[in-house]
Amino acid sequence: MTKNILVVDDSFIMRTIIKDIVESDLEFKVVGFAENGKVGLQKTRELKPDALILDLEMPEMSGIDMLKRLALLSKAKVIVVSSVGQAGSPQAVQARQLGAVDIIAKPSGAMSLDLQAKKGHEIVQALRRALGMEPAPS
Amino acid sequence: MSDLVETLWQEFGAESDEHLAVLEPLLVRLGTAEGETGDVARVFRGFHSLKGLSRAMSLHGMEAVAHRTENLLGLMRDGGVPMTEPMLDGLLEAVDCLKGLRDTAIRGRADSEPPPALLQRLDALFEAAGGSEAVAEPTPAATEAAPSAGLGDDEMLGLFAELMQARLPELARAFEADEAGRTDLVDTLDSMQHAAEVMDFDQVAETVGGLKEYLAAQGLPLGEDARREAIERIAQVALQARLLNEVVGGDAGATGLTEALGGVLVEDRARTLVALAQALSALERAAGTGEAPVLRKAAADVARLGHAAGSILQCLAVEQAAELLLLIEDVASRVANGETVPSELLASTMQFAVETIAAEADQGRDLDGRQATDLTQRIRDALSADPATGATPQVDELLAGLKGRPEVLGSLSSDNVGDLAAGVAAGANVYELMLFLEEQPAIGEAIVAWLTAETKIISNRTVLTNGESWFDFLILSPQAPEEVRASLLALDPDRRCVKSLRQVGGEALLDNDEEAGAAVPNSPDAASRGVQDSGDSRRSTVLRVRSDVIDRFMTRIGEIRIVAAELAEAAASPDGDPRRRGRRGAADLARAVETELRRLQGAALELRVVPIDTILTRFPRVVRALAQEQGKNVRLVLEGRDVRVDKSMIELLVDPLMHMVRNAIDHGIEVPDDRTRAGKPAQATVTLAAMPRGSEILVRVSDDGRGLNATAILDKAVARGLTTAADAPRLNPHEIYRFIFAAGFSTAAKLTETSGRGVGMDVVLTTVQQLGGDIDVETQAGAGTTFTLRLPLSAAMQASLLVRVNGQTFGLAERYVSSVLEVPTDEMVESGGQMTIRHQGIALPIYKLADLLWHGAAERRAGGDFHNIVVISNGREMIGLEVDRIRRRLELFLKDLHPLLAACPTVSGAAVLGDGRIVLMLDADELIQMVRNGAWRGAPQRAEKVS
Repeated sequence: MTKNILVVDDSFIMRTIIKDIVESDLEFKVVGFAENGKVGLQKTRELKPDALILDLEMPEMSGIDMLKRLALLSKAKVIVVSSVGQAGSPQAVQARQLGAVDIIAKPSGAMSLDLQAKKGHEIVQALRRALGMEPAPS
Repeated sequence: MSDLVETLWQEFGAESDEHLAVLEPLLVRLGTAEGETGDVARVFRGFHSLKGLSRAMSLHGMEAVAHRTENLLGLMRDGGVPMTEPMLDGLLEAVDCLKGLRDTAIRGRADSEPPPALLQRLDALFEAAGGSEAVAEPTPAATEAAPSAGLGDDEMLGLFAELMQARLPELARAFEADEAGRTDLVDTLDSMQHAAEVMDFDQVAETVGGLKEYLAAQGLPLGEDARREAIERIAQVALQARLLNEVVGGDAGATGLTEALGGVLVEDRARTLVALAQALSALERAAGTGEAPVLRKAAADVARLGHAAGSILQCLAVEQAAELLLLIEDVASRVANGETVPSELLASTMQFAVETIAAEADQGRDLDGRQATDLTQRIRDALSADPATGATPQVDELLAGLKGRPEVLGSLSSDNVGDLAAGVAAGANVYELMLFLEEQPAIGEAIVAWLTAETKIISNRTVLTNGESWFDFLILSPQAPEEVRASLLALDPDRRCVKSLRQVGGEALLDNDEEAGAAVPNSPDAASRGVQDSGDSRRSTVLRVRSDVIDRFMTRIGEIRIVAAELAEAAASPDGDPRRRGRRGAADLARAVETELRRLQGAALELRVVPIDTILTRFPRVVRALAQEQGKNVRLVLEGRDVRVDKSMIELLVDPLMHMVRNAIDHGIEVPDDRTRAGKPAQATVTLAAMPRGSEILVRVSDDGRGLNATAILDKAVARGLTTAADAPRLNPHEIYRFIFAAGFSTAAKLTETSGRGVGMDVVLTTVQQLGGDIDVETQAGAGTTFTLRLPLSAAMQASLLVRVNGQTFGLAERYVSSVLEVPTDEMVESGGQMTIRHQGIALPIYKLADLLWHGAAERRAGGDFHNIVVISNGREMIGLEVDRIRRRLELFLKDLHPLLAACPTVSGAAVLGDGRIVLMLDADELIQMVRNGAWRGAPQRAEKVS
């Protein structure tokens, strides 16, 4: 059965790139998009995704604030993909505390057009790990 | 953007269009006595579908409006509430608003806010009609009001917090070796899980439920691994309890849980921290060897133990230390998955931090704030203290130039600095570029494509500005500042996306505050202006076709394939061939092909036609509003609504028809009192009727008003110099009424009041003629007026008359041809150098078409007793064209002209004849203009000759 994924990122370009990455694995389907945490929460409630790809820096409601609510509200696994997700960054630590399963740094800033090339495989593997699936062959 | 998203928008555009088009006429009909049973349900469904569509596209503004209209209609449908005038007005306004929001959404691919006044008005209508507030409001506006977005109702939340507060401390009993205690705990967890489910706290329910099942499956007492697992699960519950504290603003059991666990986990804490310190020293050794597998294994141990230690400290609410442990866990897990390679320094720094935590914890203390900050910073420094990445003095200088922007500096990784150094060494310039891409995806994508192709992106970061995500890019480009600036302006001339551009170490090239400041990103009209064109063109690309039409089309193609196969066989075997006996001959086959092609063409035309109803439905609303405004009582009758018209023509028809309907009500129809006095029913009737007639369509606009006033029109025509007082008495009524179509005839509003007609009828005529049609008027004083529009079925097909001049064949659109005559030579009269004939009682000027087309090259035909004359008219003027031969009339399929030909006056199109020859279509209207202005080369050059 395919797993449903919700993509939350404030840039439509990144949302498109992430969708392509996620759906490169045929067992995943992107069922929705949100451009900030607030919309993200609504969509999570409506769509009940199995997992989320979550950006941290967003208007209206940040990824951290959304994670705080998700930690209570949703069973969905959360993979943070953010430009402020570098090892040891305060946001990364906080996201981990709030239950993000994995934190992946965007390679070249908030709008990382090279995300597919540099982190595509890692994102798919993180999703598979989070959802208790076998690792995909690399 | 991806094709899928694009397809969704296309679908949304087409579907919302259909619903909106249906809603308006249905609503107006509901407001009259003609409303049918089932109309309410239809309108309800329309609004309901719009709501669903909007929600699917995350258009919350539209959704909010559609939701309210649906509620209102729901009252009518289920509660039998009757439609009132204020309700109808409100609903019609809502339809307008939905149209506006929809158009904005399609252009900008984004949601916009509905006017609050309308929402209030609809709410008020809903309440006034007896609606209850219980109807759920799904818009984000509502969730915005509650600070605890999505967390349900406050009272329930309070009860849930109470439950957690009372029961959470019991979790400490998980570590007791007491069977009854375990059973009690499982029950407690079960009730908590249930409560969390009721509250929709899915994650809490999952965590608590998971803990319950885990404990129920474990023996007594817990083994070492099971104990660690239980602690981790309880730490999750503790975290959730603390988050709940934040939400309810009071205690939700976190404090009690910590107290209860305090005594139980002392030993676990000490033991785990020691193990973690040891694992870190193993990591330090592994970092020294540099063997990746060993390193990863050691890092995984650190991550696992770091997580365990962190969980324990979290349970104990030793928060500063717990956070530092999360940092260590984060770093270690990235080493474990290969993202980071640690230095020995990093490992030993982390080990030192863990030892400090252990020492403080043994004293029963958390780290103090200064210690925590200091240790965190030391770990971060060790992380970024990578071997130097070949920074050069130039890069140092550059980075120094960025010093004023520490946030930019902070976003650079060592890789980024390396790239920067390499780029600068190669002579590239460094630019800072601020972009806002979300509002204008098309421009945004173009700019990003340009960035990818023409520059090297070093880094970028989100800068939240007025609640929008702007992106601050640092880019390298070999191009000079002016070139970069020009490229960006070419992509984004209105500065919708490019907020600022600066060369690092140089001047601002495009400034946000001075230039773009005027165009605030949220300004809706600027936004719509920006993408107007692309949006509209996108919309018109969707053509909805019924599936049975496509089926017929496919059937035709199938038939043609069969005939083509037969034709191929005939070509391969000559007629005498015995195998051909009994088969059709070439001529038969050609006819068959011809027939099938004609049918195919017919089918193809059907692809392009839509019912005229799609525009007729806009009229009831206009008529209602106009009648209301002027205190008139008007009934609008629509006939022939399913008559089909070429899609490319239909939108262009709206304005002329609207114009005529408006005129009919403004000027034709009398107020009810006058009507009664004239012995007519108080309610006037305006009829809009469409009917097919052969390859044409007739559209009639008729009213039963006072009719045209011939005297007033004639006076005006004389005053305007359209005719002379001397000629006036000789004009027949038909010719008089034609004056209302003359340019500039009707600019004076006063006359229109006395004559009853006139505003811009010349514009109407021009539009209709552009469509290849014509217009006619009939009127009867006191009984009304009828305008009849004749339109071709398709703009691309034209009934044409083929004529021959100087050995060449030309086409004339048949709608301009009023008659074809054979005139004996002796009836041609020359007067003042101009040939004329008597035609319909007037002197009709005759011009040789050859003279108009080729100066002085007219071929003399010897011994001709008769002249072939084609009489053409543009509705205002009439001339005769003499041609060599009149060939035949034909339906021609017009093709687009090559631009060079199109620039040529008098040529309006080209068509290919059956024999492959090309026919140029002549523009009769332009020929008439040419003659009138004397602008043709064959015209007598009076002035020159005299001098």
